[in-house]
Amino acid sequence: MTVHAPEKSESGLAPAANPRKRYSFPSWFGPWELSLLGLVIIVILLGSSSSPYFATPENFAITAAAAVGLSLMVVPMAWLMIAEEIDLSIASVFGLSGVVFGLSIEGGLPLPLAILSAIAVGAIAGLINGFLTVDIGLPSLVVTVGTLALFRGIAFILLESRSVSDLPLEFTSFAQGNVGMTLIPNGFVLFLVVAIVAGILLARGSVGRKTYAVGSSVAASRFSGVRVKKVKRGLFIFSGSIAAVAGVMYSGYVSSARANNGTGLELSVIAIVLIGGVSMYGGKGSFIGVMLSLLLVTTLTSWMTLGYVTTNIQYTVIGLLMIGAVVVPVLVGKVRDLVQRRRAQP
Amino acid sequence: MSTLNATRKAPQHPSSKPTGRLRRLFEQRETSLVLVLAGLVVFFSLMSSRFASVANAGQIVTDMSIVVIVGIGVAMVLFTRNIDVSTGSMVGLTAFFAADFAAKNPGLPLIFVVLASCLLGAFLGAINGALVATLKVPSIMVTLGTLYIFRGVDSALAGANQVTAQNLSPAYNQIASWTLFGFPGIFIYALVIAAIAHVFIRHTYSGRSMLALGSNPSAAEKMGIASKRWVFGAFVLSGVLSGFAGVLWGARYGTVDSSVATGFELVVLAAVVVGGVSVNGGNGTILGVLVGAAILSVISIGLALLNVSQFWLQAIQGLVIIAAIIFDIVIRRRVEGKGKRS
Amino acid sequence: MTVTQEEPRPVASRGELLVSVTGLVKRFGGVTAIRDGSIDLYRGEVHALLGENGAGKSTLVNILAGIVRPDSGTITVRGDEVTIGSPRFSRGLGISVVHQHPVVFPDLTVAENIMFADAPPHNRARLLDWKKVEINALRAMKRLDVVLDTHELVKNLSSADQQLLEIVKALSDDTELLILDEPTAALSKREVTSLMEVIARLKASGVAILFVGHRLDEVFALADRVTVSRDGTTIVSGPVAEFTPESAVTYMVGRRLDSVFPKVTVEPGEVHLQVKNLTRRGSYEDVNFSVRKGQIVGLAGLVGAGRTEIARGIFGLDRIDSGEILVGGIPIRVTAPDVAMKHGIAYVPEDRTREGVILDQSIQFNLSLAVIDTLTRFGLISGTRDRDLSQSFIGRLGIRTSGPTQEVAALSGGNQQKVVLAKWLSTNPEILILDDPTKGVDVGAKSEVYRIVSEMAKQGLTIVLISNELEELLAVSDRIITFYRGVQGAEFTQRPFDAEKVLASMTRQVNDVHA
Repeated sequence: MTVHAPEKSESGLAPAANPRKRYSFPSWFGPWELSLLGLVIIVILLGSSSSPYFATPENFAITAAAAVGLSLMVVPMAWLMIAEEIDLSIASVFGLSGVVFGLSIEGGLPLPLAILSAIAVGAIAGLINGFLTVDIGLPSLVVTVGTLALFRGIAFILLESRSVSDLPLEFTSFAQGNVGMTLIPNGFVLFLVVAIVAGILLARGSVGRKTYAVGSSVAASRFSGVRVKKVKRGLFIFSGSIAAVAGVMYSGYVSSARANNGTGLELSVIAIVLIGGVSMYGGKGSFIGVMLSLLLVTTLTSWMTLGYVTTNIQYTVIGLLMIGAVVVPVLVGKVRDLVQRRRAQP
Repeated sequence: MSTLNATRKAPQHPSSKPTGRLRRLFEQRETSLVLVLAGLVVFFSLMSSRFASVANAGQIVTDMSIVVIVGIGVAMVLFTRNIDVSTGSMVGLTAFFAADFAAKNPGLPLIFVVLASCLLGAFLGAINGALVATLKVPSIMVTLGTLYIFRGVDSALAGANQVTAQNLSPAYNQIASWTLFGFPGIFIYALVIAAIAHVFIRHTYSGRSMLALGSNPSAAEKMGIASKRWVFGAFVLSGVLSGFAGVLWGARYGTVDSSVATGFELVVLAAVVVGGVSVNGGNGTILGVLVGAAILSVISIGLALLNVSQFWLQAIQGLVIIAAIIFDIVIRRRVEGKGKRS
Repeated sequence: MTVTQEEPRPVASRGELLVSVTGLVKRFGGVTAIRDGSIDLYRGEVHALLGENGAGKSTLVNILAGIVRPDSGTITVRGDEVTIGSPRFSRGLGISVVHQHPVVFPDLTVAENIMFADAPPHNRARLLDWKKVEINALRAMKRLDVVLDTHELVKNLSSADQQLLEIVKALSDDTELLILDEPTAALSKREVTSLMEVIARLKASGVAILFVGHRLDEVFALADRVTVSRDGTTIVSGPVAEFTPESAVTYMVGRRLDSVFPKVTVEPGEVHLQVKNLTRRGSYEDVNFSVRKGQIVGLAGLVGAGRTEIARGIFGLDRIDSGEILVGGIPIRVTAPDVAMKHGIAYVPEDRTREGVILDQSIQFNLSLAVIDTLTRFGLISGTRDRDLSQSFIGRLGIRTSGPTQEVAALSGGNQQKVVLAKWLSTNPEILILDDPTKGVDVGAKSEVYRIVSEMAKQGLTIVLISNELEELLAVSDRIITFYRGVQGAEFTQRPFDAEKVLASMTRQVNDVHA
């Protein structure tokens, strides 16, 4: 028989560090985030040049206030998608909680209780999503299509086509007002608080670390003692609760709680998270990126609105951005493979 | 996992004994669906005298037809383990295009309008297919994006305009409303398409390949099945059928503007999922799509006749979807559990 | 079925050279699966390909099957050089492959699955001729005397039946080379015997057979010729008479381990981990053993013997049907990994890249994951403590890396495994279960891993070592317990161990024997 000695296999050394030291981005602000920032700057420049009203504090105030619902919902959606889940029912919870809020006010409940019951409903909705996804094991994508219809449907059953416009003055003036004498909308401040806390927890909290772990590899996380089910369930409840807060705030902002508030908003929320660089496969993406993406989409929308572009076309632009956001990584990957293959050939 | 110690009996499975066939018939999803449909029909007939009438049957059948046509396309995509949520916008866009095209060319034989609409649909589907099949982008993301994009194009095309029944030739309006043995034409179209689709899926190698592909994509690669081709084809088919549905929409509803079929993708998805087509691919029948659409139509029309406020409809649709998915997964798990115990 | 050869195999049935492979190279991205592969397959001969996981066996199979194309090398079939570009082409050459994991379509019927393996029969209208599909399926099954319900959906079949279906699919009238990739993994003894008979029949009819396997007893009973691969290179090849199971294992594993790593004797303390009558239906039955502090108990067995399942049960990943686990004399109920961790149990899993580490994340991320909650204040992770933890372990374990923020995917197998070890050591465990800790790790890092394990034993940890590398088990363990198909075999308590006796116990069922 013939015997060969194998070549000395890899010595266990790490790949030699690049001789030319490349500038490496910090993990929370990479090339993707930089590109988003660049796009934001471009849009702001283009917007200011095309309309005198664009780069004004008033426009900022109006845009920020109107986007309070969207902005708030982006926060938990980012967490969920990093954990490789999704909640398509978020906008329906948004609407349903607004309805519950309105009906509670109509029913004579004091304001704080009305708000709490709306948030409670949101949390329960999240619990239902979590239960169906995590405990029964249904794919969140399909389950939340069902709950999207169910929760919106319940909203319609409760309030039909009416609206509750008789909301307490103190609340509506808060929801529509600004901080002190400034032009900063109260809703924006609320969003900032939520976003900052959530962002810090995601980037540096142990719950954030676990979220990334679960999104990268459920198996390895489980093997490391992470309670995967608990984490995911918690994320869905978080999503429902924040959607409820957003729904209540929005009802206050437009002075009207309706069952169809926020219809279709879930798609914008998801688009923003994807454009923000969160991978559809979970485990990757920075909160800063999502915030930049939110900024990009809202300034873009504002620019288009000032330019009298119809809502549908605005949605088209967002759709294009979203497809771009998911296609670009694939293309970059392919280019990288090609380059690697060419380099490997002697 | 091998067994311990115990000597196992050699697997003795007699090929297709009649009891085996009967058991499989009962295990099939379609059987329970038909029973559910029958149950619902009986229920509503008992609750409302107007339900069990010929006119109402015509209503139900008309209502479900467009859902069936688009649903068959979506089912094909689901068979390959993908999803298409852009159908609402595809139908809306092709509906306006077809109606506008026909209104502006009154002398043109309608067959050209239909072909043009289907071609447009094919093109839209091809965009979806190309992104999913070649770039391997998850279909949910692609079709969510195109849902937006196609709607935007529709908006740009239509602007604030409308095409109404008056603009269209009587022949156009008649596309859907002719009857055969009392069945409305639109239903005949649905049945014919369903029949062709059924033969394709059940009795051709290509059809079985699509199901195989969704059942086990990696195995399909290993066995040399041309996955990209079928995935692309499924999306194109979904587009073509949406295009055809677009023509029918104008004929049925009379008025076409840029908001046509908004949210329709959800109705179609519901019907298909209820009909037993699994989102995991590899599973489902055309009959299932028919029965699923029928169930949803019966529920919606039945509830309307019972004067249940229309506002209950969406919630019930949601519940039905969730129930269908749970049923699907639970059955699948029980079956797989039985098999794996060796 | 014994391990040693009972009669010499007649060399006369050698036949002509059918397929010859030389100089094969295959890289996947940065990983070299095959460095220098070669094999000669003769008609009427069963050729066994042995090697550990990562030796390149499955890649060779995939190349011959046309699923993967080699970077360089020559393949000749019947004397002509060929490029196997697709599965269909491979089949056209007369090569049939039975894959390790059934390549089936669960939602389709048995008959349809068989249909996909070959060209489908069409009737005049370009529609499928179902009668012919049925007839073809029955004929295919007849070749092997297998009886399955052709109308049954494959997902309803047991995994053993699915494996049989795989084999049925693979064979056709034109098969000249049959490749079997670990075909017996899911089969019972009786089914394995039937398979052996089929292989014998095929051999007699002149078919060349390539058998990739792990179970040395089956391999040595069947094979005429043996080839051993290690780390992607073909090490040795020759008639089966020139091998013994021990020498085969030696070729598979490499140098004798005691020359690389000396065993350190530790005075064992009290019994810390005890397992009584542990049973999980379908995986293992009536397992009993105890491990003392400072002791290393090795669990020996062939792949599929149930050892990993036992470890998973102790760690709370799978349910246990009956039996007890005692830690420090106290029975515990482990419902989830974090519960096991609270009792001081740590588990270094078998599948490093899927279960041990998160490849896309940094060393720091991975290392601190098991103890992340202890590094926090008010829920926020202390960056310094996180980094310090990683730095200290990088130093302690000698992990070769450019820093804690380097992605684990960029590390070599050995260093990845050190990250996993570090992660578990950071939990300050009392019980450490290691499942194949040096799989896919090069020789240098192997000895370092065992140095660390030895260090842990000295510190009084209770260690359970599961390994498929017999040489290492023999060198490192204080006691060895063998398992076969989920049933506990003998316990060997005296060092140095008799390798032949251990191997014999591992490869067949033996009643409780103390040797």
